[in-house]
Amino acid sequence: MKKILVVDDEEAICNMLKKFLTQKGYEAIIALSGEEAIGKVKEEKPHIVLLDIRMPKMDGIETLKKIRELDKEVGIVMITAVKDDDVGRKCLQLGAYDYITKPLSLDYLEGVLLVKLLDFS
Amino acid sequence: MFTEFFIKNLDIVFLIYGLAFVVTGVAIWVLPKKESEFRLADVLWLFVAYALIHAPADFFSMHSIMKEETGHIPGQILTSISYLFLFEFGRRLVGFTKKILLWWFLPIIAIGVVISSILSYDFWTSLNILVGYFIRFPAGLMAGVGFFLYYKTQKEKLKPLKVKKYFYAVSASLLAWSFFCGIVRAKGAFFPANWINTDSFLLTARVPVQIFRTICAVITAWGICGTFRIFNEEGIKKLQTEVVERKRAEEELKNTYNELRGTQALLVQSAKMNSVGQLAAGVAHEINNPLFVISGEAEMLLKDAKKDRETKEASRVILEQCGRAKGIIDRLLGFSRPGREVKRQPLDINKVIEESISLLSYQVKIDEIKIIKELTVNLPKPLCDKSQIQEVFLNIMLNAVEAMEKEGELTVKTYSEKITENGRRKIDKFKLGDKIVVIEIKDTGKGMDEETLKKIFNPFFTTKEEGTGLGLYVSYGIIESQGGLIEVQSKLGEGSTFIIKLAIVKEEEGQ
Repeated sequence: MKKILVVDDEEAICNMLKKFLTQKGYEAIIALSGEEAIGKVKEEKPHIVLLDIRMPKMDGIETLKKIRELDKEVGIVMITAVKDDDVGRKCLQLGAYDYITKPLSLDYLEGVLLVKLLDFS
Repeated sequence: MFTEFFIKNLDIVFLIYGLAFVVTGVAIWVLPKKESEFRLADVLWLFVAYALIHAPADFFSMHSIMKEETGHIPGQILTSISYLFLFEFGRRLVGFTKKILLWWFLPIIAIGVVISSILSYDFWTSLNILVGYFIRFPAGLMAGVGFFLYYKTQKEKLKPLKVKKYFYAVSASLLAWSFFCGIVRAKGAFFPANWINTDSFLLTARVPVQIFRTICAVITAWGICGTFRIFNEEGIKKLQTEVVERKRAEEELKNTYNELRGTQALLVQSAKMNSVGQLAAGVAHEINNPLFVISGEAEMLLKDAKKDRETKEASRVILEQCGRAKGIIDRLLGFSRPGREVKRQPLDINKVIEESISLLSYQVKIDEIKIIKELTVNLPKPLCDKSQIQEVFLNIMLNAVEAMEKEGELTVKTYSEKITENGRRKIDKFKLGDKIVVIEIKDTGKGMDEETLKKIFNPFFTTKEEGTGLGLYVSYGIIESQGGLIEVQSKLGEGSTFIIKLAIVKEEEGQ
């Protein structure tokens, strides 16, 4: 079973995504901050991280860098509430796989996950 | 007979003689000649000094002669001093045109006269005669010639003032006077005073020389007062130019004030839009998160095979409304931060206008509206994002069509312009000499009142029943982000004109 880590400071979003991912047959784990996410990446070794950008304390971009240092393989999909081309470009440079704006269609998210997970099969 | 009459009434003649000088002196004194361009004004004070010292002195002196008391001493001293001033006046006046007489002439002559008098048989009589020959005569001569030369050299300036006759009269009377007063002196023991003197003059002419002196003095006084016209005219002219200049300055001030007011309005607008943009970005972020949760949950419900039709229908509605909300937020954000990739390229504005007009006809019925295109061919191409500019045109045209309800005229005009000092405002992003493209979109609709005009670029401000109030807000942001300006003029009942100005930037600069 593919493991997906959802990182967002808003619990409602985490819960909703977890429910969706579970329905779709993934194993979903949640982190409510960047620090927590780094710990979970070490412990749980997820296949994919869904990472929010705007978070208090450690933001998504900082978290992205730290995760990349720990794990070169994990797929990271940035999810943001405000689309910004510059930020998006930067994320891709730092090794993110995709950059999606909220509110996003779950259909689309599933498509992205399926494509990315092909790397691990 | 004449002779007796004159001699009997000589005191009246002296009075007139003295008065002539007093009048002249005082008149020059009070004359507004400061800052005059005429150099005559610089030396006139010498004439004033002469006239005011001379008047009482000569009065004394002449009166004593009439009483046959030769050499009324204080009178003689005063007279002699007064002539020093006239001599200096004449010297300087001539000096304006011909610098032949130097400043040390006068002291040398004065000392010579005094020494000669001391050495002579009768000091006072000799002084009287010698001052006449060596100071009065040259003084009158120089003053007379000086006035003449002054007019000649200043002819261009003086001619329009019509003062020729005064200058010439003063000149002639001073010359004549230099003879009557400088040469015709008291009888002396030496030549020519033993030959030409007041007594021999009376015998020959039968009229006392004082009469001639007085006539000369009166003519001089009249003439000098006449020449004052130059200062008056000059003053009037100065006053006129001052008035004109003051009016111009006032006008300038008014223009600057109006300009400043316009600039301030634009600045306020610009600042407001900026803060609104920031606020919108913040709000968008906060709303997108819950919106994501809502749409996510609705999507899952919709996809859930176990749910009944009613739930699914409701989920579909929720999802649809979430999409609408997302659309509004995207547009709001489009102002503060262009979401999609902005592609700036040299844009054929006329072509975009043509396309916008045809797009417009799909969206609204424009059969009854006359569309007038005044598009300048070969319009320079500003660096712009085509779809953004098209959005602006469409927004404005849609508003225009709606403002006209059923019929009217929509005029779209394009032209290019160079920014000049006059057309530039401080807030303009354009620099002096910049080339800009101007697009005017004018309708004959219902127009707007001032209150509406102030708010039209505000987000969510709308006068339509169905409208988000984002069209012009977004348009404003687009034009701003392209370094342009958008303005609107409107009159209630007459229609509105939107004016868009875009800078023409060279490609390498714009990228």
